[in-house]
Amino acid sequence: MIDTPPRNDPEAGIVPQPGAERPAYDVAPKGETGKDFEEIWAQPPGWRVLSSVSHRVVGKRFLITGFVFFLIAGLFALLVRLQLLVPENTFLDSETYNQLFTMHGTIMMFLFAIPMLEGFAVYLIPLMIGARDLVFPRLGAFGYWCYLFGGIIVLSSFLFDAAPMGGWFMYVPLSTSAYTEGLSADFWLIGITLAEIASVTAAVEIIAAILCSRAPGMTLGRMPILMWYFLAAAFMIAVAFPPLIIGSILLEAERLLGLPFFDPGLGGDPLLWQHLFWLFGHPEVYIIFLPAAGMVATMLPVFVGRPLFGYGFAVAAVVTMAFLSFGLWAHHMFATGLPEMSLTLFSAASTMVAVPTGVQIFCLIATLTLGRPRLTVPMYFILGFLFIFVLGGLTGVMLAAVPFNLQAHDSYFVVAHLHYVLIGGFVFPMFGALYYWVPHFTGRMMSERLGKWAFWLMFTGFNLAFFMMHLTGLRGMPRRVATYPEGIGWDRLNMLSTIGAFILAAGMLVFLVDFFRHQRNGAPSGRNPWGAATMEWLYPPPPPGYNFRAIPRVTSREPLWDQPELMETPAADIPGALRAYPDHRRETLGSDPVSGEPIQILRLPHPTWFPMLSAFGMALLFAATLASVYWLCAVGAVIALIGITLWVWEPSDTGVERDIGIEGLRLPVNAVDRRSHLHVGLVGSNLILFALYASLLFAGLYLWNTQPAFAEATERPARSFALLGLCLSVVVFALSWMTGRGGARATLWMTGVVNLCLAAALVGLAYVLARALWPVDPWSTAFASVGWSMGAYLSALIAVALYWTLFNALRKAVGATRPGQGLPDLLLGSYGKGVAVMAALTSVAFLFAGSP
Amino acid sequence: MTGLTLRIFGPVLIWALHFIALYALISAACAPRGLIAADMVQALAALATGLAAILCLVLLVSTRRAARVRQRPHSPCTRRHCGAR
Repeated sequence: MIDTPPRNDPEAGIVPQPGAERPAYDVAPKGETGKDFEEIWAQPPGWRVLSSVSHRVVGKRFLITGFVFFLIAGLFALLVRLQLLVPENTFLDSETYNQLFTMHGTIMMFLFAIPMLEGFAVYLIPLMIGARDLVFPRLGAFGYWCYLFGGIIVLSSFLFDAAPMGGWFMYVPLSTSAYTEGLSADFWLIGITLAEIASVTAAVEIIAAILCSRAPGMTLGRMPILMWYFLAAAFMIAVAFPPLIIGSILLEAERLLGLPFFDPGLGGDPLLWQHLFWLFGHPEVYIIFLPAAGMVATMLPVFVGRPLFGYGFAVAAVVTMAFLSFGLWAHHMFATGLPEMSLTLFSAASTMVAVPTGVQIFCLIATLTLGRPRLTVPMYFILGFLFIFVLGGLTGVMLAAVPFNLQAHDSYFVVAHLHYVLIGGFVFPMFGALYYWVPHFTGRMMSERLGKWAFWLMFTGFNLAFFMMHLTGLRGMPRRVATYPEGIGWDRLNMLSTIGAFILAAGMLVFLVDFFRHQRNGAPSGRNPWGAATMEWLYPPPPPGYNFRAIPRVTSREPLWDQPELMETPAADIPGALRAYPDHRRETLGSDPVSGEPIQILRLPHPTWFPMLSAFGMALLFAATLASVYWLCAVGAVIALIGITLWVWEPSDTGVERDIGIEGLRLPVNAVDRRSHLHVGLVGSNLILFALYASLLFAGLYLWNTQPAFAEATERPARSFALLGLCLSVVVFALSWMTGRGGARATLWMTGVVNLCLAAALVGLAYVLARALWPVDPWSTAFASVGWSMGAYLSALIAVALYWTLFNALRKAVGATRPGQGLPDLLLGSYGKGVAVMAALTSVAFLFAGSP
Repeated sequence: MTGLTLRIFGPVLIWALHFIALYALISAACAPRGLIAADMVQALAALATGLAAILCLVLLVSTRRAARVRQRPHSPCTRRHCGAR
């Protein structure tokens, strides 16, 4: 359903639309009419800045919070290294040691690396693609608060003397109630799941923003290379995080409710946890690496003065890598007794991933050879990245070989490898990126001299600390041991590693000193201080809150190099779209996902407290679950629901159409269009929901295949109700289709009636699925538990669909939705179809599962 | 857009499907349920690999053809002309 008239000019691809003569919709909701453009985009003063949803504010919050977590985790690493400084050391007892290395890994992976890349993405994407903000600013803010509250929950475990100590991977059965009593594992599972909400919301945000809000003319092929990296990482997050979320929920359900998902005595399997964890864990490494490599691919051409060599090859390599990374998870499980054929398959896939990685590295090296590089501080870090990451990649190829992997398994060789990959592949590019973009945040340059000191200290310290670990590992030292006997060849290597770790920390300290120093004493950066090619440097930093006074047309991949009019004109005077603001609202351009041509005007929200309120409700729900105070869980859920309802209950903007100020184009506001940001965001959300469902399905199939006796012993769901569920799924699908189709065309009362029919069908579907499961005892076997989990997951989806359906019907009833404003129904239709497909699959599974 | 998506993601999608097929076959043969025999796995894996290779070739040829068709109406150029560009 596309309301936007088709473009038929083959040259420009743009023609004035047929509706150009129509007057603007005079009931367009107005914004802050007393304010001028700058005031509309200004940040709220004082403490009300917490209500800001601007991408620049939220992005910086992510970066600062992530960096604080980095420092905390770094401190834990230093304590661990101090313990290993000498043999038979008693500096830390083994319990504290376990807690410290667990929290070090957990914080680095979940609370530092991913949030930092989210911070860079949230901050940079709109600036680089020519948008005034992200397309879902409130979602970004909501994600940040969830991340912060989740991180606080995880860290607060120290206050209760219950810090997790099962490793950052929380393997079962060690992390089950039988072996980890108390709340320590629960802190990990609940806190990390809450923090992961930020990752999946960021994935939706990034996908929709990059595809749907680019400047006119910015085709996919003209996007800055970093956008491809962010896009690939976002899709990977959408598919990779759900297995961990499901795994965490299953493990928490086992700990809290006694459901036997991982209990071999009742048909569970500890290896199921490893599969779910590493289905997330391995792509996670690439999710961390790819954006960092993208930042390198953005910065390197600037310092070489030439465009990136092999842009197309790099994009192809990124896409390939994103796919391949999902075929490697079992190489973390080579020593678990997998079948030999599996080992061969995963070994081959693990070796194969070196190819796209190599292509990217060759593109970077070839770019280096094109010109004479300027050796600035970011460039030092880029060279450091190339050196360290390539070494880490080489040991990765070694570990992909099964015989070597079995020898080096769980030794310090693996610790060395993973730090070479992660510090080389993420931390060094991140520091380079900070030196490169901090002037954009603050308007001042950091010191070249201190920066070089920081680099050399970090580079030397890192290699001293971690290169030694290869040798320590090859000499047989296992990882995660709190101490070791003297005189078996590990003493000197460990001492050198500890000295290296402290030198590395000194480098970071120099960076911190420079960061605080430059805010007062740094030289003003001026406009485009590095001579960059990308749009974020169009304004003298820090740019105004609206990013672009008018959104210019882009005709090149390197606009600031190839479009001289952009740099020769004062930034605020550059001609472009949306200079006028008749409705006094925050707006940006919505683009076609492929061509980048404008298709709509996007209305953006003003500062609001609702994302924070909703996240607070979620945090309360999670924390109360941890404390087993269930009435408080209900309070948290109600607060979250109220926050989300107030968030989405706003005047609908669809129906307004107006001139955007370039090329005579009149565009609809928030178009009812499958290419719109909301629909693309919904497709991203459906992808996440399907990945969650697929994880449960995988768990069921895995247990059915590996524990056949228990699967056969499980009672079969009621087949008549399962069949009825299948029929009702078809009905729900049909009604969802009608809802989506009718949204913009049918009259309000007709769509209202369809909404109510859909609600009735959803209630019926939930009822028959519950009746189908009723004969099955969820505690009887792990297979039965998974069946109930699928039912519970579907119930949650159906509850959301029901709420949404009634919400849409209510808005029509009270006049909050006007004729033609069919966007909510278009979105509900697509969501409903997804739910119907999952319900149909579940019904079919219930028909065949269990013993007759 | 679907066509473009297929052209961009086609080869890696085929790889992904091939990988899933092989993983499923191995799981079917090697898990305690033992759904199929090892010989059957080898035969089916060879078939799946051949099929994936053919699909990749078809995709490659059709993409090149589509690219040529797209070029024709807009660039009735001689080789010399193209070289100048």
